[in-house]
Amino acid sequence: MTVTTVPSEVSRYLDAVRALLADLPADEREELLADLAVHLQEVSAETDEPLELTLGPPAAFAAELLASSGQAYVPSGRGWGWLSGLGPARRAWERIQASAATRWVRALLPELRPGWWVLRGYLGVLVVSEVLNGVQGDDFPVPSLLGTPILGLAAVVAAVVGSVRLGRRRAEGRATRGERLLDTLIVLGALWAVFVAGARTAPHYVYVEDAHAGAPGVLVHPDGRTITNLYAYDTEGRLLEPVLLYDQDGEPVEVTADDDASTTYTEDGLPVETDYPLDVNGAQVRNAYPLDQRVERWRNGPDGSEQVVEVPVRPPAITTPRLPPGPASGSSSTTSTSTPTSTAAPEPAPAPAGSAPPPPFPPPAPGPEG
Amino acid sequence: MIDKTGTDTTQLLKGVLDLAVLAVVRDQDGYGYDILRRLRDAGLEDVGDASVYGTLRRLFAAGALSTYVVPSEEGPHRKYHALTPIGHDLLERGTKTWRQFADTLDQLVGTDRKEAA
Repeated sequence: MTVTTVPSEVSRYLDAVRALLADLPADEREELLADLAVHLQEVSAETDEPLELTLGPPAAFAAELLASSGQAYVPSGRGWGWLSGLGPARRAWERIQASAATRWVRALLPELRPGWWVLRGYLGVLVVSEVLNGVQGDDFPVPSLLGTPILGLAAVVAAVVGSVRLGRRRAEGRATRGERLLDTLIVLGALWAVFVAGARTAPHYVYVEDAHAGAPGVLVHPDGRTITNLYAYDTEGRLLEPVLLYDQDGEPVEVTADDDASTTYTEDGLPVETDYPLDVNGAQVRNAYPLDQRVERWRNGPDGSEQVVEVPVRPPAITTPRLPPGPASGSSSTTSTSTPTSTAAPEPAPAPAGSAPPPPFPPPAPGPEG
Repeated sequence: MIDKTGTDTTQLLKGVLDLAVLAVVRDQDGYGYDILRRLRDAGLEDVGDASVYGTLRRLFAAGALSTYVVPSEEGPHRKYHALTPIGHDLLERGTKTWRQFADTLDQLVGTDRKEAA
């Protein structure tokens, strides 16, 4: 084009038409448009009216141009007009559409269509079964209808046949408006079905926010509350200390899995310092209960300032159930109605004989100091 | 055909635009806009820019038209279209076809032939 100056109106109109002809191979399109700029300039010089008024909207112009020039292509621009303000973006899109890769993919798409028709039929039934059975039902991979996968399978076959017929009718341009709408609905439903099926097969992560959940690696109740200390009592309600606790495998029971940690936390988040007793070799014995602990609390000092105060942990007030007299191996499972025998008090008790072999252990430290 | 009767004319034009363009160019070589103007001046007021432009491109691609550029002192250079031997041949055959068609249709609708000329 040997055009010296092209009015912006002309180039805008030309760009719009060019974009609408994006489906044409680039060389054909440029050949078709080779003289259009000159022509548009002539038209625009002739009248003061905007080109859109004189020539009609670019879409109509492009369609007429294609029809009259004998091009078999239908303009892809079903409403690309709204893109007219996005010059650079539209030109980039145009380049992508004209690129060899895009054309290769486009050429490939028709070959994939039959496969899609089959898949669409299957997904359609999956959608229906998901709706009927609820998404928690066992519908994947074989959807069930009315509770039986056989009916579901029959429906899949019917749907696949229908889908292929619909697809062929559409490909031949014979589909009615309703059929095209149905097609679109199936696609949308299929997307949903894939999403649901994908969510089903994906691992479920359930996050439960639990205010009582202990930090990882600490001894907890089955309901998640942290256990920071353990107290053993005899049947008479006397606190036993120290006792060495072991689990079913002979592993020492410790309130924290971290062997270096001497700080745990109460339910309220207050730090608890523990002094572990040492065995004769100087190693910590971490399963001797009750643990000698102090809680660090904030307290207002006399002058109003806050102070950290270490408060010794005292045994809780408990009431032990009264057990029937007799051998400890008593088979009676009925426990007596508990009458308060004593509230736990830090009274020193004789060291009981543990069932597990106690490590060499120095005499127990005195009970919790008050 | 001559009457400006809206879409009817537009529909009819589609079938005979080739012939009309060839006829206009036979009289005198012309550039795109010039050809369009002459068609309109001749009475085909409904003819569209895109249709004429596209028809010129197609006739050129079919070898019925040749083009040459004439520099213009003011404004853009103009690409003139001229009939080739193929174009002449096409025009002749098209004219015959049109005459027969017009006669047939005249008899069918029973109008005065002069009006349709």
